[in-house]
Amino acid sequence: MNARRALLTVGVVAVAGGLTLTLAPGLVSFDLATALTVVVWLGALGGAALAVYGRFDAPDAVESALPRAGERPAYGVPGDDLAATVDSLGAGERDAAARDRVRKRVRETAIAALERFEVGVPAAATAADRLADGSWTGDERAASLFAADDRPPGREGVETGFTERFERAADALAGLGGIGADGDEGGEDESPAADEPGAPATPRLARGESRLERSGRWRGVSGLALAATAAGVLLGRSVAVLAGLAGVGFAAYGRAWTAPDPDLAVERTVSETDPAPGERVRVTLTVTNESGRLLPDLRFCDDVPAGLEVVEGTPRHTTALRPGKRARVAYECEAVRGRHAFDSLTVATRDVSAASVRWRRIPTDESVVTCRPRYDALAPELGDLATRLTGRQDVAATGEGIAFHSVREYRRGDPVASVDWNRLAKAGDLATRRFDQPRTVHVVIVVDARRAAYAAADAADRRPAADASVYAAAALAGGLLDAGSHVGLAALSPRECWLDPAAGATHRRRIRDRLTTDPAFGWLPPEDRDETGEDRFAELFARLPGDAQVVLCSPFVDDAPADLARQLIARGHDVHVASADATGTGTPARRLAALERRLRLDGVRRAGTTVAEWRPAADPSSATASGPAGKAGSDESADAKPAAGRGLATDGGGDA
Amino acid sequence: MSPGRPAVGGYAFRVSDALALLAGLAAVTAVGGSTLALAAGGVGWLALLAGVARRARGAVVFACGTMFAASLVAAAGDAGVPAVLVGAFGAVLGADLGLFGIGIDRDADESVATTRVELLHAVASGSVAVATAGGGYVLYRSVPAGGSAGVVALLLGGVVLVTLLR
Repeated sequence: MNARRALLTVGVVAVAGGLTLTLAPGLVSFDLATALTVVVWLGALGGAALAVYGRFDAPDAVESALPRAGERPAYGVPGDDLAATVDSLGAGERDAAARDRVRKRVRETAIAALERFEVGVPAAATAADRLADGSWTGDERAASLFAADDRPPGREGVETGFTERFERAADALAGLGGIGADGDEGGEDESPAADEPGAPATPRLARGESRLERSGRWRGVSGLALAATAAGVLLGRSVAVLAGLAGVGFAAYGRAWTAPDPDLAVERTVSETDPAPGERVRVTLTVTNESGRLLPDLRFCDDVPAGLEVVEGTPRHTTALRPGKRARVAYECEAVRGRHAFDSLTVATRDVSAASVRWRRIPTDESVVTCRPRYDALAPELGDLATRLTGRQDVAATGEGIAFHSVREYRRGDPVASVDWNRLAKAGDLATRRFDQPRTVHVVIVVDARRAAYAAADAADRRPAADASVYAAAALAGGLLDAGSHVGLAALSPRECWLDPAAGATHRRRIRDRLTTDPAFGWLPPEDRDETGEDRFAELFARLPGDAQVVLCSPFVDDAPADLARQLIARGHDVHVASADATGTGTPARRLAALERRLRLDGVRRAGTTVAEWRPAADPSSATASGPAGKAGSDESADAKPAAGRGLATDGGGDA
Repeated sequence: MSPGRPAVGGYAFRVSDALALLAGLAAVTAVGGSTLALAAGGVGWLALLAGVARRARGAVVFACGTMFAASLVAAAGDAGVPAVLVGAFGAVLGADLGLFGIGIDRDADESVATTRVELLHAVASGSVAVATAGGGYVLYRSVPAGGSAGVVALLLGGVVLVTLLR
């Protein structure tokens, strides 16, 4: 017999005995009643203690809440993950290995930064030596991060003040690269409510999925009855026992019902299915109770697609709904690039006691809002890698063109028409005239849309660098197609997207349509956390034509894009980089991340790529309106840093 | 936020909050014949006020426990059956409504009118309280002298069964 059955037996016997004793007090002898009272008292005390324990052992925060739809996803700021790691490290031996991993990463950055930025240092003093002896900075605390002799004495494996020394070292290194604080030093960015500690969890339901939960809000209320019983027995006051009825009554109340399974009819209308960026779209949602019974507590939230931000009204509603009645909500969202499909509604119904809640994600008819920005058309200077097909691009190839290129010594087999007869007449030797031959150039634009590329310079920004890369890619595709190149498209992402290089108006629309609506360039980062990118590289190399040049649009917030650029160069491709700067400078770790990005870009420049970088607009809805000042061929946006190579206008602002 | 609805600490002050405070006030008033019970109940009600104002669930639960303890203290004195029942049920009702109001904050934005669902819950909980307290009062009055052990056993059995049966 298990405990539950034993308790059930005790409960039934107690109720039967209680009824008997209540209706016929003289039925049993006094001694038996006293013994029963003592047993009851002890049981009540123990039960009350268990109830109190159960109440505090199960925090109320476990109850889920409706999703906070209508807010754009929060994107991470480069460096914040490292700062969080450092903050989580203790001084003890247990974290020694983790501290060394952080130290190794900072050390590698430090060596690269010293070699890159420090001038006038004796050639004999290598960066590693300077780190070891601490002479690279005047800040002793910063220097002690790397110099073992300068660390505070203590037990083996114990290291105090690591966080402070990390931050001092990060600041000193950022200072080498000219990266300083931007005035919001130490300020915590506004984080989404869902990420705050203690914030209620949001149920993750698949479309059509349903789940029943107990809220736990009545947990422990039966302990009141037991406590009252114990007090009444101890005090000899039966009226105190009567107070325990409150516990019994509400405990029964909390278990009497189960949250209803709602039958709802959902109707949604959108005011505009093809809005311009920044234009408001009004969504009206009507929910009708077709359950045939009262829904005492109905809460629902329209599943607003990621990327759309609700700017007026709310997509959430709470009401009690009688059979046949309807509830209506209306809200407005601001359109941004992408294909946004409204296709479900998250619903929570509670029973009247709110003890149980039934979650459902109800499929609805799909309402699609597609926002197609007007992209710029910009053509960067390309390299000389070209196909053997005649085209319109000037490259370092000679052949049957019009423009004179050079003269060389005649070789057997040269066409007679190319012989320089004037030179033969004057000097008597045969020479062959060469002409520039425009070729067709294949360019594949690779957009970094990995999880790491969904970064922003500030946690309050609601525009990932991946979106800025998409705008850049669309502008470049337009410009390159105008210049006669054959342009292809690839997403560096677990979400596959590939278009072979081609030309023509149809292909131009196809590329821009992919950049606008393909899930690979959506507003939510891919779930896949494999950030090494090796698998993505292999897929790209397999598809990339051998004679294609590559334009890599990436924020370069990790090493993967730099690795890709080097591997592409090693395979003979001309590589050009367009990099949106998504690094912040608000904390030492962010400044370190900004320094690391700068070093990566320097590295790929040295490897032979051209690099253009810019600071994207923080607001996606204003991307077309507040794009960089630069038009085709111009340099940086007004707030962009100086950068090598030719600048790119990347946020739109021109005609499609 | 709907027009005219005051905000407390960035949240809407809801109907449930007002009803919770009223229930708590009724509980404290009922046990007010005993100084000790009045003091405990007063502390509980203030905790309820703080919990509702700061949207702190822990404070509301603490208030419920304190006010319920106040009703037991009153019962230990010479408080009558109605006073003890109002004290105990008022304490639980106050916590129920207070927690319900706080729970709505998670799901409903300030602009959403939630009065209907709050009133429905309050009426249901109030009905349970009145029915249970009334039934208990009738049972207590109808029990022959010397039947208190039976009431105790009945209560314990009820708790165990309610806990086990769903």
